[in-house]
Amino acid sequence: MLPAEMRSVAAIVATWVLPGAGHWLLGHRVRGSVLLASIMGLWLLGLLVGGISVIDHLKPLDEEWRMGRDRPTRARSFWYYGQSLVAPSLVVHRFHMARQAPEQPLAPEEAIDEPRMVMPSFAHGYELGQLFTAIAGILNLLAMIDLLWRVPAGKGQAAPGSTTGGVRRRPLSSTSLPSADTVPEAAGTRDQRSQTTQAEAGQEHVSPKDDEVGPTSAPKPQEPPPTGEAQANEQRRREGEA
Amino acid sequence: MIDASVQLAGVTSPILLWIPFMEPAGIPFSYLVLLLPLVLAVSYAYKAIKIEHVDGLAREGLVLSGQILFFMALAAAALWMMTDLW
Repeated sequence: MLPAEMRSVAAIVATWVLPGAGHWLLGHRVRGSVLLASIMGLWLLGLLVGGISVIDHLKPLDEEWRMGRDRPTRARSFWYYGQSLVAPSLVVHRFHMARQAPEQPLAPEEAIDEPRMVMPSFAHGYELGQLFTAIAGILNLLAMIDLLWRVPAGKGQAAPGSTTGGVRRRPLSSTSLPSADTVPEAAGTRDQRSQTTQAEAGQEHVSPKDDEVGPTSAPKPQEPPPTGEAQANEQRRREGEA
Repeated sequence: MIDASVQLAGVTSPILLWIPFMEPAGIPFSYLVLLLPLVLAVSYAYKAIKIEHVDGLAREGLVLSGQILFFMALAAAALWMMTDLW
C-alpha cells in the first residue's frame, strides 16, 4: 500500500492524464465519473467545434500565419497553458503540429502524396474551441487540487458520525503531512469548516500555523479559542472595567 | 509552384467530407446554444468536488446551472437596458 503522499501524487498524475481518474483511484467513483464526463465532455466539445487546430502553443497573428508563414514571429498563446492541464491536449498538439500546412508551398505532385493537413479554424469556432478546451483544463486543475485534501474512500467516509466525505483536513506537505490513516476527521464539511468557528472545531481545527508544526512536535493541549461573540463579551467586560 | 492558399483549398475537404475533430464544425445554430453544455460541465465539475455526499449531485448540479443561466440572463438584460434604453 502506498503512503498517503504517494497516493495523492499518483492520483494527481492520473487526473492530469485522464480527468476523474484520480478520484476513481481513491475510491470516489461517482465523483470521478462525473468529473470525467463533465471535463472530458467539455474538452471534446471544444475540439469538435473548433477542430484540433484550437490547441496550439502559438497564437495566430494574421492571415500569413494561416498560410504557414512567419511562424517564428508568433507569440505564445496564453490559452495553451490552460489547455495543457489536460494531458491529451499535448497529444493533440503534437498531432496538430505534424499536420500543419508546410512552410513552403508544395509542388502539385508532392501535394498529392502529402497526408491530409489540418484545416485551421476561424472566428467563433476557433474562439469557442479554445475557450472550451482551456476551461476544461482549469476545471481539471480544480480536480487535481481537490485530490490534495481528499483521503481514499473508506477512510474518511466510513467512520461513524463522520461528515467529511473523504476530505482530508490539511493540504499535502512534504514535511508535515501525516498519514491519511492518522488524520482525525474535522468537525464538518469544508463548507461547514469555513463557516465554523474555531471553538466549534475545538482541538481538531487546523490553522495555517498548524501546518508549520512538524509531525514530531508534541501535541499541545488547546483551549477552545473564543468565538466572535465571546470576543465581543470580553471587550465589553474590559470596557466596563475601564 | 502553386500558391499556398490554392494548395490548402485543394487538400481540405468540402463540407460533405467533414471529418470530426480534424476540421472545425460549421455550426448551423446560434453559438449561444453552446453556453448550455459549458454551464452544465462547470456546474457538475464544481459540485462533484464541493458537495459532501454524492446522492444529491444530479439535483444540485442542475440547480447551480439554472442559477448561472438565470443570473447571466439578468446581467444581459441589465446591460441591454443600459446600452439600448438609456
